[in-house]
Amino acid sequence: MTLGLATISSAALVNAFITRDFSVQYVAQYSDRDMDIFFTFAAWWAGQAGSILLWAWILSIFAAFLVLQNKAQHRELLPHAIGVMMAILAFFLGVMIFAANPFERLPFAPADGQGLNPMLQNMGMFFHPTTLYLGYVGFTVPFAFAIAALITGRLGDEWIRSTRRWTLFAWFFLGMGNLFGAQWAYVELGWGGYWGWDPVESASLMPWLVGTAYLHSVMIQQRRGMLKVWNMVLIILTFLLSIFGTLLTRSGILSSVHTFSQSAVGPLFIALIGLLIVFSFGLLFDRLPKLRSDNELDSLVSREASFLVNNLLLVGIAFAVFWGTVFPLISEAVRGVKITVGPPFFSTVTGPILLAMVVVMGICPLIGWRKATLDNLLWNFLYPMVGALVLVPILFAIGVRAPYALAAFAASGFVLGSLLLEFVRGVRARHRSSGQGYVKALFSLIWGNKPRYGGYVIHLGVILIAVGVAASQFYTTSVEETLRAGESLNIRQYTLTFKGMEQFNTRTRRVTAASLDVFENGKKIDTLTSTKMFYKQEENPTTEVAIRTTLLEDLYIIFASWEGDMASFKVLVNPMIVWIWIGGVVMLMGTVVAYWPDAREKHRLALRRPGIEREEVVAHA
Amino acid sequence: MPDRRTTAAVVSLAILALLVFLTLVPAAMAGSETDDIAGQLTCQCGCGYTALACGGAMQCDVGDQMVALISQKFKEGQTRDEIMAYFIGQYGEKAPAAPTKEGFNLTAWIMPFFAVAAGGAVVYLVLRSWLESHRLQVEAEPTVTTDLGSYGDRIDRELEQYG
Repeated sequence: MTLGLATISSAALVNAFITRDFSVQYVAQYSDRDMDIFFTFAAWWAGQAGSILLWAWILSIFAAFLVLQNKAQHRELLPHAIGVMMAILAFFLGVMIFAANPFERLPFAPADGQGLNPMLQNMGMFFHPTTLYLGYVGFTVPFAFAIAALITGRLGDEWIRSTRRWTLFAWFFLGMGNLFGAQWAYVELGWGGYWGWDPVESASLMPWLVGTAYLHSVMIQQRRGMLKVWNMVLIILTFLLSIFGTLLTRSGILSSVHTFSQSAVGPLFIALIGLLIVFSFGLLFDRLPKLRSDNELDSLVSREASFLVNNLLLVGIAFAVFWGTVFPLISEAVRGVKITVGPPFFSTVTGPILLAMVVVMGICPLIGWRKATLDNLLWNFLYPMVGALVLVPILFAIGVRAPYALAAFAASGFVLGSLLLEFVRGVRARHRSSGQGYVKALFSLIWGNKPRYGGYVIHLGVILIAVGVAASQFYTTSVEETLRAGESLNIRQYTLTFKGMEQFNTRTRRVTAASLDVFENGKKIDTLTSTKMFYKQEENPTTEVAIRTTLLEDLYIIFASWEGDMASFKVLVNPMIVWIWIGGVVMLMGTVVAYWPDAREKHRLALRRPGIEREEVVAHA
Repeated sequence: MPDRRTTAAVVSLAILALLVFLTLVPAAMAGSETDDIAGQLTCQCGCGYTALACGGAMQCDVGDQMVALISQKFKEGQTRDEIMAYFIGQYGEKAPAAPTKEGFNLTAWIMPFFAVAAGGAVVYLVLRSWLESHRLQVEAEPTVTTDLGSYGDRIDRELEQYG
């Protein structure tokens, strides 16, 4: 019923866009008659009211799916979980009715709409917001089950096991949403970077970081029956940050505290967050006596302890991002002075913690559960350590001199070495025990323990991203020059010769295109064209950059301006950017492996911790 | 004379310590001095990006003007501090893309590291209390005469290898 009504509402808004019903204020604000059908559809989530409708619609789909999925299981938890989800849905529907109605009518129907911001008319407009919302909304499910577990007193692993895939789903889409956003910024904003530490970017990073900590931490509860309270805290925080992310994205709160007070949506979201904090943590506090660990820690040198360090760093980075994001508001409230907290702050503060995180990522999988011995440490750490140590002088010799870059690459090498070692040992053991060939043994190893090896593949993707980020952060080269046709500029091994400009009109815009022949070490390899586009309803032009991508580097050309027959260019050589996107694909592959149903998983978990299937039903206090 | 294993363990731990230590080394900035300063200033067009990011590409020319002004001031012989001071004088504290490291703004810089350090201390104390509790539990348990040790070791090894 709820899904049906939410679907009808969504269809009605899409229909209003497609039929160009400009009497609807939202349609008039975010579309015009010249927009093609693709972006007309995507305009649905271009503004606040439509985004909230999208949130509500996705949540209603998830709730319906959850009911169908759990017809015959989790009968005690499901009603409460659905109740929590419906309460959240009611909030979003209420916001739409009372504060941000996407169907608000104008007193008259204008002949045409204002159109969509040209920078939003990119494929990223389709993938970035939708994946982010799938992530934000997806975290409602594990949160709802956690609350259901607290309400019912079924505080064992049932709520974690029943939402493991939902959590992975939400975590994956939030991560992909961030990557899609980075890729979109890279190709569309045209400044040569992919992450500007914009508050909206930070908003989607925070729940992903805490969600990552949660995904690791629940392993300890599943294996050892420990960290029950901490896992509750993490999933509550993740969901709160998802709501906070939606608030930041759509309320304009960070422009100023005064802007915030003018928005009707902002106070409602703050009220929801306050209510959720009081309710969730109040319930958790009430259940504390029933959330005691089943086991104690055997040793400080154990995977459990290393996962706690991992959690500390992930939550620490999330806190640093949160603190930097809200500090302008704090400064304005305390001192009455507006300040900016931008990339230099975030890079300086999060850089060391991120780097430590990478190192810990290499350590965690190598330490044994319960108690690691000296033999265990030697056996597992020696080769990756030596590999990382050998890497440093090699990198130094080929010109990597920045200490931070060296540390980042060495840490990445250490993690790669540790992952490789895990795979090599596993494949060899399988080869010895079953006689399988090495390639077959590799696939059967991964398929035989999907959560574990899927996780390692995800780690590999993260490391590829880290390498791409480190290389592009420290070794980007740029040059700016103004050229006449036939003149050239040089950057690294490239020579770019300006061929000339041409101007033409399309249905929606006037275009000025500047083309350059690209020579590498004297040999012509390409012709690239960057454009300036003037949309009819926009005062300023937008720039479409030209990018030539190889595995080693991107040649990135920005057509900055022109006067007469002279054109100004900013050209960058960004090293290893493509590895960030490849890392995303590898993460996708790892997530699919980890997500894939595994018939042996349940059996294995039961073997690891006898009694795991028994749920302790705690009487209501 | 330490044996090979001990030496290897010490070397391994030393390398680990080195890696962790390197995380404390401040980041080096790449690019020209103009780009460096432009990357430290917020573009005043309201885009929220730095002047370096906004300049030259996005839908405003404010960033371009700021970058050009930085370049001109360098040519006039002004220092990095003088240029930063000029922009702060013009636009106030919102000009730098990061809070100044003085007064109330210091809390912006200190708080994240303080939080991680405090969190680390809490984690350590919790771990120690768990360990102590585990030790007391083990001591309280009666000695098992049946030789289950080898089975336990084997299970541990197999969990390590296949778990």
